[in-house]
Amino acid sequence: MNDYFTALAARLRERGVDGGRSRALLEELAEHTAASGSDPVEEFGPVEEFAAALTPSAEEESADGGEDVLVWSADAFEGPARLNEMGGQGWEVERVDRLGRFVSRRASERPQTWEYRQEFSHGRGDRERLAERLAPEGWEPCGHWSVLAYFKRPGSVTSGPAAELDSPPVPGRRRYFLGARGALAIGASLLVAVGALGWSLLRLAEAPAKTGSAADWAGYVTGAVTGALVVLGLAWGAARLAAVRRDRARD
Amino acid sequence: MDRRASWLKGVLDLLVLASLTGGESYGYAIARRLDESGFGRIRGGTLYPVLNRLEEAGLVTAEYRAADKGPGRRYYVLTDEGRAVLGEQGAAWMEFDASVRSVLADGGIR
Repeated sequence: MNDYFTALAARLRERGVDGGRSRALLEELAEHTAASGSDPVEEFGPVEEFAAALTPSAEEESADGGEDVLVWSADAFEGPARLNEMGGQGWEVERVDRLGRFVSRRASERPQTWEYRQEFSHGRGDRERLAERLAPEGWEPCGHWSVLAYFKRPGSVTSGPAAELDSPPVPGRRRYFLGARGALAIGASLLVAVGALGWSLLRLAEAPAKTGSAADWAGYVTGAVTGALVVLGLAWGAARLAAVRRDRARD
Repeated sequence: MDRRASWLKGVLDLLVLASLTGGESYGYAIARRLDESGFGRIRGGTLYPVLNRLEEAGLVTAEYRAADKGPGRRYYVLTDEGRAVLGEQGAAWMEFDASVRSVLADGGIR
């Protein structure tokens, strides 16, 4: 076995390829070079790169196509500014996942800037209407979470070729952007939830043994579900109101 | 990456699957066949990662056979799943190709 295949065997071992599979593969490759009469480096490329191509890791698979991938998040108050900051560095939001995180990609070759907008939207129909209205300006939907809808457009829509980035910056280590207003809103919500739960449990504990029955528990669950529905209803109503105001401002 | 290499990257797995519909074959023979079909020389560094992925996805199976003279060969066979994927993805490619041709024809390319 020549030096190329010896080095390749070592790289495959390092990448967790089992001995049997590695031997079969190396014999196959040796047969290929013998049949084609070519030099292994010329035929298969540098050992490191070839080993990586033969056994791509999960990260390498997800980055297939020569793109970097970044998953990050920001609260609704920080969202618009952070999105445009990341967009300015060439990150394109591909989708918003179930946890509300932005799954972004950046082309390794000739990345360009992206612009974003965050809108309140109370349902699919509203999002579709919004998308239709924004499309002539180059905006397209890139995901939604709860009552927030996100739109993106390439920087080239407004800047032309100048939107191309010559040297995109290396992404920072921070992946979660929580501002003061977001922290306050989350803190207040948690305070209300913990207060309500504590109060309910206290009342249940204080109730006389006889009356601490199934009826009390049913009342407790009904109250909790009703409370949750009221909060969700208020959020939906607020989003609807915001959408109406948004549409009026357009007219 | 030149344009042809970029096109090939998107369709090489289908070409490999298609070249196995006539029966089993091995890496070098597949590369030669694609070369003869006009795709140019497909380097082993490009072909074997694709064969590996197809095998891991269960679209082809491979069997190593020792030869009387010289090194043995690993023969690839299309599985039923591979045939199904080829049918489905091949049809999608044909549809894509038809759309490209249509737009190019409208642009005066014959």
